Amino acid sequence: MTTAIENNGPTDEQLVSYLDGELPVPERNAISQRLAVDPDLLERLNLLKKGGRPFRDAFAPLLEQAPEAALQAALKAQLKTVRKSWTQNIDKEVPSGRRLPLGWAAFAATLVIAFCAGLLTGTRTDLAPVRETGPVLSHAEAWRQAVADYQALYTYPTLANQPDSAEAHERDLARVSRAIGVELPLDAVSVAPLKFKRAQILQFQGRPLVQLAYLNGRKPFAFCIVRSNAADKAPKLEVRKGLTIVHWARDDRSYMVIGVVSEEEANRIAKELRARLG
Amino acid sequence: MADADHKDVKSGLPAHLARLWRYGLLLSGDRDTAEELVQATCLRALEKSHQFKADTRLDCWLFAILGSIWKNELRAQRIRRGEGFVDAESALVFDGGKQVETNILARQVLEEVAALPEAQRDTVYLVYVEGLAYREAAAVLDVPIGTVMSRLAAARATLGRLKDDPAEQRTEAQ
Repeated sequence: MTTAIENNGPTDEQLVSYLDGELPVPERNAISQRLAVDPDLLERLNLLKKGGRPFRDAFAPLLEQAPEAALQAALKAQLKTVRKSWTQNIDKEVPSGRRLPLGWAAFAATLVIAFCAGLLTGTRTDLAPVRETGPVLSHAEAWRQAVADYQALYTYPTLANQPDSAEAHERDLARVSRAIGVELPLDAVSVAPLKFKRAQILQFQGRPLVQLAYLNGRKPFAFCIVRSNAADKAPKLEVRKGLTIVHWARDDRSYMVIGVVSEEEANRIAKELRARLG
Repeated sequence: MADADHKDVKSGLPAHLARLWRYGLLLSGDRDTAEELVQATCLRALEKSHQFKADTRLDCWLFAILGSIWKNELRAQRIRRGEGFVDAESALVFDGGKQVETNILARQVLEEVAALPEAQRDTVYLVYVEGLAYREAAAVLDVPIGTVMSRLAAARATLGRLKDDPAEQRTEAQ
């Protein structure tokens, strides 16, 4: 920029930056020096200077004219309903393929919905204005709790009789991949020593929740994904219903692994899945 | 979601409503639309509150949202409905048919700014009324900083060529 001032003369952009104090010191000094010896430049500067006005003062009265009371009231009303509308906006993007699995799994699925309904009566949408402090189930926690409540029902027999056909598994995974919009190839989701057994499309608060069910030896394990509005979050460990969980968020989806495993094991599996799913 | 960033947006919004309204008025030229813009901005801001980085300027973030809603959503709607003509000048100076009490010089400035082309008017407002730095205005408007500079230079040149004595101008007009 200094070179330009020396060789070609300052542009109007540089002059206005000069007037507004937005030029770095070297350039500012260069222009000052130039102004002292260049009457044409001085005339250009004066034109731009004449274009100045008491803008701020002139617009100040408009602030007082703002319909403050109406604006504040509208905001208050919005704050009351924003949580509700927030989830509804998510629903608009959700593909309409909400499916309940067939057969015996349907019973388990209805339990999820029942649990969610139970959670809903306790969630913020029904409570008085949001409390700033104190333990309240956040939206992000609610889905993890629902999954934990559901996973706590699982035992070895739940999954033991699931046939081990790679073809069936691939079909299952393709189906849930479409529902959640995340590629879930069988080899990617099969993190040793977990054995993939079955995938389901469930729902949580109107959004698709996919559950990949595994057996870890004789212990059930699950990997769940739900569409969410969450910002990306690094993996975090927690325990619910005596089950170890690692959860994270990426690209408008929340993820969690859950099972009867050590913290190290849960972290390892989560890390592996994250790496494989890109 | 009940984390610090969301709290910042939620708790910071009330303090900025009047300025948001004024910006909406400048952009849309209509007081009712300005109110609508503020409401839409609040809703969008609350929904996207996780994207707001704490310790950055909330007002700039809100201005950007409002501007975006106007340009990408409401403005097109109004044009489709045949209300495309934006009479920015009268909106700034009149409040429901009643001329707003303001001194002559201030009114002159409002009229001159209102008469500027839209992009220049927008930039002049953010930098010279709201006092944003060039860099901040560029971020709000989503344009390169050089564009901010050329718009300001063009606006100043236009205003600089107007007769500088308002009294002289009025005499000539009569």
